[in-house]
Amino acid sequence: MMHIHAALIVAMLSFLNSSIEMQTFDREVGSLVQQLEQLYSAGVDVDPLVRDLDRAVKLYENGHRDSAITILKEIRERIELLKSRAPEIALRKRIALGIEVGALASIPLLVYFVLPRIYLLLWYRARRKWLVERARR
Amino acid sequence: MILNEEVFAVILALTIVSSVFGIAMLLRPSTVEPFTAIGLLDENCKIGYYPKYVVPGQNLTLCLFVDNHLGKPMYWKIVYRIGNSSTIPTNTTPSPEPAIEEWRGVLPDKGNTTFKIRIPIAIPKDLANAKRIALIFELWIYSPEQGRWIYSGRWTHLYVEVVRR
Repeated sequence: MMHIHAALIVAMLSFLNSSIEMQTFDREVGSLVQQLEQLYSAGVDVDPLVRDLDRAVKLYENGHRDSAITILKEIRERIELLKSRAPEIALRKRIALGIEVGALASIPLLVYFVLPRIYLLLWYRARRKWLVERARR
Repeated sequence: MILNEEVFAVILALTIVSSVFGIAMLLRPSTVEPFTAIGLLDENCKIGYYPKYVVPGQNLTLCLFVDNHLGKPMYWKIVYRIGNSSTIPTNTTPSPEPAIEEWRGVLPDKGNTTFKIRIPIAIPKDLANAKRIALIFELWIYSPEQGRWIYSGRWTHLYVEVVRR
């Protein structure tokens, strides 16, 4: 009877321990996801980091905890590196967006000023060899 | 063909409308209405041949689909439970039945994943004599701000008949 009780207690302790470990892991992943959210909203491409984070979660679930923790550490380092570059990336994205908007906005102006000239140019070129004869009245 | 004033005005109007539409597409927020989705697929990861009968203790192969349109990366988990018509989840509350298995993952914004699962038909004691059970899959999302899992209000379930030997 004592042995059964002891086995039960060991099993419960082991379950509690793994549950606490899982909670710690969730907190760790959650904190990284939060930082990725901030980078993403600043315009940084975080997809490769998200893929690696997903891989770490799958590894942890399959019992490869050390590999998962190693990947989490790498991701944390890469996030720190990206954080320092985030303002520059955000500025570049804004400039690119401004150029795109400017290019689109200038199309109607170009059509207004350039299209009649191009049309006339083509019209004259197409009739380059025409001979003009004065009509007799 | 003559480029008279009317033709030119039409071309110009079309250009202005296209340009405004293009600018609006560029400046609109990437996610207008955030949402997530969960789907249950058959063992070939297609909609169709779902099992109708199960034997307690057997293992079933199915596929799950998770989709993220929250406008940000998402740390998700799917919780598998067995219940009946009175214990299936609602939009606000998860099922009260005990969790049997969980699957976790991280998805980027506008990302989705489909994966195979092998689930045990471990019927809880309170449903020991039930003829019809529901295989319940709930989508939970981790909230880093609150430091805990939050039920997303999304779930999917499959009713199956229990065959006892």
